[in-house]
Amino acid sequence: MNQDKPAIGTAEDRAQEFKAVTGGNNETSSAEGLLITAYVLMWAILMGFLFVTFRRQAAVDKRLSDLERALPKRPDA
Amino acid sequence: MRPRGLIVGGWAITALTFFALIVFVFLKVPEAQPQAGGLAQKIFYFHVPAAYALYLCGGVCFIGSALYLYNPSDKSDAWAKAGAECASAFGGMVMVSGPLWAKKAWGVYWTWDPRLTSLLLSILIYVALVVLRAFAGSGDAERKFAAAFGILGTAVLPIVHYSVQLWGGNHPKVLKANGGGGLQDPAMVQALLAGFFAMTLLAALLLTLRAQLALSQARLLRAEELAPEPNG
Repeated sequence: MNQDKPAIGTAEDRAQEFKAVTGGNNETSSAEGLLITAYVLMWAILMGFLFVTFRRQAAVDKRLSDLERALPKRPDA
Repeated sequence: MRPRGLIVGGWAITALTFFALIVFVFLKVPEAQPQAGGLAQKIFYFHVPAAYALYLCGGVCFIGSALYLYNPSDKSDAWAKAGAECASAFGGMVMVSGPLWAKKAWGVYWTWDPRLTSLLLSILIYVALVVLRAFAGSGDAERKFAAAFGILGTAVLPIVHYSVQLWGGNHPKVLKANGGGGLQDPAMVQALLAGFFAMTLLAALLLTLRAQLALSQARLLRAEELAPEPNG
């Protein structure tokens, strides 16, 4: 029965109204999407952590060189 | 003197290891059964090693904190601080990857399972420690309080690790060492071992980087205290 009907259905078969249901289809997330999201977020955390570390190290290095310049020069130096 | 060549070499090896691991996991490691999350199960090869790296950094925080309480020094404080910061970063990685895998395997992002709850508590302790160090100053009292907090954070880790065996819950045991059925394909085992190796390298490098930064900050603070006023 219904063997000559296309698998995707015709325009008339599509929902023409929306009804509330309980226990609907839970398959809302694709494995590919979740996998890619997980990898991207993990790498984003790592890169963010590295970026903050290098920025702070640069700030400390700059402050140290400012401090060295501010120190009075020793006469024997 | 900073062993710059060693650090650059370490980063190069780590980057190559991760690149090889990603290629291997995506192209060679087979997909797991649908109950394990199907394709999303491939998150496992980074999720579990990241959790292991969290333990490693927690251990460093514990040792640094205990050493600071026993004999206060900038060095031990720097390692304790670095341990907490890196543990927070790896904790973040575990916390974003786990729920995304759980969505496919369990149907929900989050459940108040003993493993998940205890891990969240542990990560929050490390985050609190990082926030405390950032805003509470660097006096001896603050450092000692942070060291005690660091010890507390790491004391929670064994509870996290054994929570599945003790109280069950949704979180799988998987590894045979934890009483699970193990990985049934040699490529899966190889990927997991490579993941552990890569995360160990990454944790060692991040810890070194953050400890050096903390030590530089402590030295800068002391130098600023000793430096004469510009008009003095």
